[in-house]
Amino acid sequence: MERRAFKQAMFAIRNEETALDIVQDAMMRLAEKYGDRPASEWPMLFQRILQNAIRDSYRRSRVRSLWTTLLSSLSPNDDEENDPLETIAAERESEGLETPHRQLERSQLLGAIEKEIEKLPPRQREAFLMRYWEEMNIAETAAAMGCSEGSVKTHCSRATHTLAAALGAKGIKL
Amino acid sequence: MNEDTEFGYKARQILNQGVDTLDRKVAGRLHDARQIALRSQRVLVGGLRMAGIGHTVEFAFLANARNLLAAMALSIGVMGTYYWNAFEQVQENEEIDSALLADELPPSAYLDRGFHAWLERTSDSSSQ
Repeated sequence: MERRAFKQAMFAIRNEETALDIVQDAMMRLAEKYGDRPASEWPMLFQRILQNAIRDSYRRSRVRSLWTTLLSSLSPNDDEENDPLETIAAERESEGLETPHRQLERSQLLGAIEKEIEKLPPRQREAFLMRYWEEMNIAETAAAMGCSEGSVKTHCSRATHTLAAALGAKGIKL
Repeated sequence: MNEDTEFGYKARQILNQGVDTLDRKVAGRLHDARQIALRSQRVLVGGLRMAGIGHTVEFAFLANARNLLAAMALSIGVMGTYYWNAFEQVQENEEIDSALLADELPPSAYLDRGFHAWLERTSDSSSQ
């Protein structure tokens, strides 16, 4: 659970230390505030805490980067600055495991999907990951996101189509 | 299974590989964070259990320990009041008895019918 949460934070924040802090903080909050709630509610509660923390951190980092950009007159496109580094890091991570050819293909596929998930709009990404990765139902996802079930369906559908199209453009079909 | 769900299912399988191949240091830190969170977990205590016997014996009535304590406090209060009243009554009688013996009867004693009856009885017996 905590590993998937870390990955989710990484998709949005793209900073390992911040992502670790967010997940640790979310787990602490869940344990301290909702530890006595039924276990069936934990995934939804944890996702709600996690997504709120990710959104807060993302907003703060955006504000910080805006000020940094304004003050230092550097390139305003900080998202593009991070991407190559992340790709290199991801490739280096996979280097140690690339014994069979198939495993290499898989890691490349994983890298491609993760990169496209990062590019999704935040709400679409949240809905997609909660529904399909965390295997939460529509009602739970809606409760965690604080929106209607209809919105969850719309976000999920859009996310799926965007991902399929982006991967298709790279010659990848799931 | 519709197209979206199928795509989501396949994406999930691939994303899970990323979780399995997470950097060891990061995985270690996440594990530690989980343990810390578990240690500070807020737990709902539903009842008291006997040490050693654990799950087999559970005193259901002790789950309402607060009500039990309130009932005990009330009974102690009632018993205390009863004994205090009895003690005061004894003290009052004692005062009257000592006043009688010392011949220092208060005026209220003469209003007591029982005292009159006693006086008449004792005066009759002394005249005989």
